[in-house]
Amino acid sequence: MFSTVTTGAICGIHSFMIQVEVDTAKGLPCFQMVGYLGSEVKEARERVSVALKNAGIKLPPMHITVNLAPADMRKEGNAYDLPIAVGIMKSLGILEQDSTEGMLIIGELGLSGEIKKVKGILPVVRKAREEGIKVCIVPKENEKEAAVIQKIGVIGADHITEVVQYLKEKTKETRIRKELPLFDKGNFPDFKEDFSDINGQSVVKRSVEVAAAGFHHLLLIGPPGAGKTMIAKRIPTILPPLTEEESMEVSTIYSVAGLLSEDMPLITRRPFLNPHHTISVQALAGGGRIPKPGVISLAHRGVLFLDELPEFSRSTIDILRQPLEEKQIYIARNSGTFIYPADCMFVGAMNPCPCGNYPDLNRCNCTPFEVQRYLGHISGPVIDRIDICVETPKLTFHELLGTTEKNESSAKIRERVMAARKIQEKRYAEIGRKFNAELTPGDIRRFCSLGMKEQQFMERIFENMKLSARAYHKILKVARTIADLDGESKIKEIHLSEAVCYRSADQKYFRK
Amino acid sequence: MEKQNTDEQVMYAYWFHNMKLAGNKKMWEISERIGSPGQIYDCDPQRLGQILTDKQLKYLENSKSMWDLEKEWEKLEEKKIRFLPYFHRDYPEYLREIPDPPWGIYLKGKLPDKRAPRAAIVGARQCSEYGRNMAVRLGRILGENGIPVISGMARGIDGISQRETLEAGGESLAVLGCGVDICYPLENRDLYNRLEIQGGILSEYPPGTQPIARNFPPRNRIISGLCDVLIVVEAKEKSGTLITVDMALEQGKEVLALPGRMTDALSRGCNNLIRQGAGILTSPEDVFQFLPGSKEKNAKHSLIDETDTDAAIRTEEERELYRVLDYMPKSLERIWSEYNRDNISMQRLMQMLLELYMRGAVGQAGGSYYKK
Repeated sequence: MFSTVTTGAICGIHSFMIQVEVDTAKGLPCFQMVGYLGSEVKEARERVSVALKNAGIKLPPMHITVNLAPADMRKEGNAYDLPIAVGIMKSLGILEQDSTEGMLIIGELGLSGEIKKVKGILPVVRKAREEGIKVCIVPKENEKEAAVIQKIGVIGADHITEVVQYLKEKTKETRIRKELPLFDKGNFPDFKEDFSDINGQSVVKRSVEVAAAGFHHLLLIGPPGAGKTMIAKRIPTILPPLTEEESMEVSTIYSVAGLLSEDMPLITRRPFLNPHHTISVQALAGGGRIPKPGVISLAHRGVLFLDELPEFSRSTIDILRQPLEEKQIYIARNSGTFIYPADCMFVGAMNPCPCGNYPDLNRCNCTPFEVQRYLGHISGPVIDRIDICVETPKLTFHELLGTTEKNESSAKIRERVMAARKIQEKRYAEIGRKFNAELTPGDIRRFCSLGMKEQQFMERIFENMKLSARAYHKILKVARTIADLDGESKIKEIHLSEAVCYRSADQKYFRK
Repeated sequence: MEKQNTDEQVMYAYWFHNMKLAGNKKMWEISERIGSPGQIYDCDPQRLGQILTDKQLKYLENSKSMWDLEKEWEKLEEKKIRFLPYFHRDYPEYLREIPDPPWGIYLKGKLPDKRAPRAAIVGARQCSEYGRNMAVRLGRILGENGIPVISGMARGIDGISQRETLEAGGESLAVLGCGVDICYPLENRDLYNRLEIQGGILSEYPPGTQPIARNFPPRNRIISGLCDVLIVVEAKEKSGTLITVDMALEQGKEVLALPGRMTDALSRGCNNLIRQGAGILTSPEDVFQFLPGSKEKNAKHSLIDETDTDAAIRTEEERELYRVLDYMPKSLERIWSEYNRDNISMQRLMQMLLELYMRGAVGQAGGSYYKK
């Protein structure tokens, strides 16, 4: 008899519905599978037959054919075991033909018949809802993750016998979203870190606030031990909490990467990723034969922090060029092109020279050649994408000892950041942008227009500092953010001069 | 018996010098024992054999067939390089007076006037902002007064002072440790190009010689040899610059050192020199007094001149801010805490500093470091 079961597959972060078609007929006993299958899918044959046997269901000696449609899409992964098993049971008449009506089934089988967790449940369930599916049967471990999607029934199952029982009796209650501790709009997630922990470094703190407000990429330069890493780690605490939509986007990526767990079925705080500098190009960008999302995608809507930037291999840093510009990353493989979102705030930290003591020449012994080689690791195009560049000077003992009470807390800074972001959102609503950092030169002309006085001021700066057009635009974008933080609709001289101070330190580090 | 005229002798000298078969001392020995370059060329191998090893001798003989005297000379002229062997009338008199003078020198551009008193400025490659500032001022003062500046076109003090001298309309000569057709360091390309027109580039090494480390100490004797006064701007306790000082003392030249703070590693070499008896340089007159015929010169600027700056500072607030600054760059953070922290916002401070920077009163070292 012929029967079908619906399941889902992942391509990039998108999901597709797959029909598992099973036919059992008289003839030479065999079990064959077709439909452009990867080797792990082909192995499902053994897992399914043993799992069924151990669940007490014996396969009769028949000619069993399984087809996964559409047949022109390569099937990968371990999630087809359960739908194949259910399809066979339907085909053999163990289950009713209409028992899986409006249902999506997904999961890996162990030889004992247990159901194991799979990756990418979130996008699959969401796609299923769009396709009009009413109930999803998923591995128990993926249940909470699946239940994040509203208005669709989710059943978590531990063992194939549970599935059989359910499909026969349809008694088991479906889990729905409201039972789960889910997205909490009001509460800001707790952080262990807080900006009030940091003494001194007011310039840097201020620049971080500006960067967070306009989603500008940031580069911190300073000697070791000045607090670069400490400050970077606290950036998520001043970013606005994730919106529900953003949370869903981020969770989807984590789901595909298999990083959601029962304890954390939904990502509710902004990601902060600080990969070690030995990270490979593939790990950063996303890699593998079937690419998994890389660190840059996992940092989507959050912060990607690269500490000791020049220690990263040059090719690794160069990978950032395209995603920083386009907010997503394309990975081409022979199995197709995968697009992962990568809209993150890039924060780099580096020493000013290999020994780290420059500009304190009493301690720095680096030759200009060494310094140049060190800085040469970061290519110009990447530096170009960084709007704010700030130096963290060494702390004096006095500053170090100061009490932390006087320091501003993250919550206070966050309020200002959020207010500035609101202004931007309102202003850019019609052009579909969110932040000042995303402005194109055309937008800059429109939204960052200067008054007569300010224009003259910029003209002087432009001539005096020999700015490039790009540097000029960067200054305007950052000045726009500073003005937004001040709640000013017009960019003033004081905003511009602050923005000029955050200009790339190219002058110092790349001059003769 | 001179059978060729000088021009031809120069061609023979170029051949001999280019063979690089012996060091400077050996070349002198050969010409003392054999005679003019023409005579060396025609010399009986047996006689040369007394000075050279068999291998060198063979090499020299072989080279004669590979080296077309006139063609090679034309090639050199095409590159606008002059070769001045010791007997050439344009060979600098200054060099004739030093121990171990170069047998021959290569020159691009021109030498300073034969009788012009000149100074050499040397110092650390990795200089501090203070050193940079002083090198700029010294270079400018000497340039304005028409005193040629000899230096090594290296990174840091050398290049900075030479660039500034040219900027002020003066003349400068760079002595390289590589061939004159090679710009080393490459980042001083602009200076190199300008020196070709407005000054000169000199080397005792044949064109094409790469900048290898062992060539540099010997070239220092030429720098000190070509000057009347050697000025040391910044040097660490163990610095290559001190080699130049030793050479200068050996050659009987005047050495002036720029004092610095005792806590600054980059001034320690200079301070040591002063303790050992070098002259102390605190005003341009200190240089002029050692330059014959330039006593009447007077500098428009002093080394700690701040008249330009004074004009740029307009308000009392700015003056107060300026007082906080130093020649060593200070971070914005420190300026803020040393300045009136409670009464001024960080933003306002940034604005004031930028304004002062644009008026030329303060310098910026990187994004958030400022200096006088």
